[in-house]
Amino acid sequence: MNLFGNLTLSAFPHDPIIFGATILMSIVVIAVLSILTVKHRWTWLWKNWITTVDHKRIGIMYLILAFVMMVRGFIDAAMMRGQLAVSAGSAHGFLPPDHYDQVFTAHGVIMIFFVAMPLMFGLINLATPLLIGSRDVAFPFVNSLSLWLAVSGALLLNLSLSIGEFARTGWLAYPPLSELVYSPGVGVDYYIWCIQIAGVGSLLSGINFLVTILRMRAPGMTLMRMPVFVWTTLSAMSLVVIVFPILTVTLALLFLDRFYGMHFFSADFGGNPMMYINLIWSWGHPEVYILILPAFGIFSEVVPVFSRKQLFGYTTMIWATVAITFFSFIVWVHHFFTMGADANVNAFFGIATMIIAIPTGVKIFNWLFTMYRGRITFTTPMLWTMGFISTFTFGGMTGVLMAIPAADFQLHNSLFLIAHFHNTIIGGVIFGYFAGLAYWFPKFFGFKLNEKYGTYAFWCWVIGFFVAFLPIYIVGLMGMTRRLSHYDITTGWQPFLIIAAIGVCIIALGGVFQGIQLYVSFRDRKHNKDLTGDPWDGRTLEWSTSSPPPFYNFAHIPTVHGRHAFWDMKYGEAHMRPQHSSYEDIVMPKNTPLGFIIAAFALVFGFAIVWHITWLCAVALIGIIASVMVRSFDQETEYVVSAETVALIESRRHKTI
Amino acid sequence: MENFNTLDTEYGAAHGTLSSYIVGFVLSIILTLGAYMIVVNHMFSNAVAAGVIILIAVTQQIVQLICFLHLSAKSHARWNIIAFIFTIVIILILLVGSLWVMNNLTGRTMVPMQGDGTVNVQNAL
Repeated sequence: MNLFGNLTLSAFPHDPIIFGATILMSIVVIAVLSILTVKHRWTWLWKNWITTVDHKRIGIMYLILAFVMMVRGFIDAAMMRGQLAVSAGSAHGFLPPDHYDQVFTAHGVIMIFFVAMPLMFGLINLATPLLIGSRDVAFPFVNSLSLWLAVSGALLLNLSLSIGEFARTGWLAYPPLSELVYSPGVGVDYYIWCIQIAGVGSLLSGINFLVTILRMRAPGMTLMRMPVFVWTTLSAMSLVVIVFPILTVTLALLFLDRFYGMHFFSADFGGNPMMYINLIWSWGHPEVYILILPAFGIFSEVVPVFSRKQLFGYTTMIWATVAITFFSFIVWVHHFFTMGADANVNAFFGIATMIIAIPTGVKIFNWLFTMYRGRITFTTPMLWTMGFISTFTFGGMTGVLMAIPAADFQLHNSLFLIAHFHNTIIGGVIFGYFAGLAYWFPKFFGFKLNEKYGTYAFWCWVIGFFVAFLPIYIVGLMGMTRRLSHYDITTGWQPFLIIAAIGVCIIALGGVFQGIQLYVSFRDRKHNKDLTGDPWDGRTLEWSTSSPPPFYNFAHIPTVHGRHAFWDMKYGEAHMRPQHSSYEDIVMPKNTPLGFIIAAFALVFGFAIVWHITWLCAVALIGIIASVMVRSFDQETEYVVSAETVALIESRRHKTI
Repeated sequence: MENFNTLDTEYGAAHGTLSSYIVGFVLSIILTLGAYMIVVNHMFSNAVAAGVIILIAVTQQIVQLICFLHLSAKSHARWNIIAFIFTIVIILILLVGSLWVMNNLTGRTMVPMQGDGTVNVQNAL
């Protein structure tokens, strides 16, 4: 038995770019560790953050994970655009094909699994319990475990940069290319295990929020009184619960192919690579709705507040959400119209795809009609929303175009497709979560974000997006396929690709403005403090508590009498703001390090299995099982906050108002 | 005293007993071993074996739903039933859809295999 499995010194980087990145990552890690040591912050970090089960802190940590990974995913994107801007004719750019393939794979995996998903779970964690008037999620420990599993997956992916390699297969690792014969290195194994570990976390989160929303709403909050964000989260989470097992099983089968020489997806011995594509897209299509539905929910919260009107067509909004949830299951074949199915199959899935445009259109019109004759204030959350409506509609229409199977035969795997889904994911998902961040930021940090730099950032993102992706649509129509690292000068693509690279620079400038915005807002936090807890004159329950909310969220669980629970409390005649004279004891969940410990073992397990280090796999597995058992037999998972403590915290708050 | 978590008091589903867990555990082991023995001992022809294994798998799912997840007709939680029906509908869509798509594809593109698992290119072309 080999102590290090397949891990040898040759796994460490030789390429100057990767070597530089490794050095840079090490410097950042060492710097963070030394700052923590010098400032004596280790106990603080352990007690307040690593072992916490508070949904608000977990949400903030998800956001930090998302932004750290976004930096890496964006650097990957910039490298690809830079490469394509120069790599024409006799020039071959700065990325060898071998490295370029890893970069585009890593970019896709990072942006979907480690940016969009953590952004979504971060915002859901922050907002959902407050929106439904609850003190925490249904399973606080599972919530902490989910977070740390996502972090472990991200760490494993980043390890692949320095130790070994990442997959060169594209972000969904289609076989037969991802089989051992064609991808003998550890890249695909890293790919499988970073997604498996993070995927278990996502599944657990899905279950957690499904139960939270169904079982832990404040008294009086019936389903049709829930804020739209809660509805879209409910739909997205039911999608998570149903489709993430498909992803897990599919990747597990691919792992069996690679590790034990089985033939589920090989091209011979009875295997069928198209089965992988069929399975992965029955997860993959609902996945994009998992990402976009909560963003739709955010827009539905933002638009009424900043238009000073109630949401137009609440009921149609809910049914449109439910319809999208259902239809997302019957469109997956549109990702592989070209695989060779007959016209009946393609026509069915093409029409189903076009039908989804109807409930989505309903939503767009509902937002427009809410704004119509409203008193709109152009704050940054509203700007992101308006940017979304125009950008996303554009992207949606190019999608309907590709839903025609005959057109798709031309556009499949071309850059037109790349431009389409970036148009919906940046213009929809990312803009949506930026709107949500700007909207809920004062709630969780106690001060507003700077509007000036937020506006600059918004305009850079929107303009940069169109400058970067309109040329991509055009070269796609000119016949350029995706995943090319080099092309002939006579194709005439180069000018467009140079413009696209300029667009990336404009987006990067937007990112810089967001950094400045964060810094300036923090520096001036004394001046833009939110003392009332209700900076936007909001309608939903999260604005009824202080900013930032106390760890128990609500001193008294609110009673809900209508769709606009907090609005009714503030302005309603029938439902005066409740006056409570005394406080009661509150039971809250205890902090626990076990989520962190289990996820750490999972990371070790992932690394060990990638490198075939048998003994370490066994140790890590035993560690996981033992930790789960320790947690299962722990009966003392909750503690009581006395009424006096609650009274003390609440009176401190009332003094500052 | 207000609890942050109302699950324990309001959860409408039936709770399990020690005996229901033991019954479920034993049945699960028997059904799993059964599937294993069928394959290892070549008890049936391939097509029949596949059918029997699917049957055993579905049975095991039902056993686990009843014994471990306490799904019963007595359950008052409407959400359990709605979620259950929704799950079955989605599984049917995905299963029937996949069978349709893959079967259609096999009929149109797959090349016949020889006995040793290799593809005869001459015949295929």
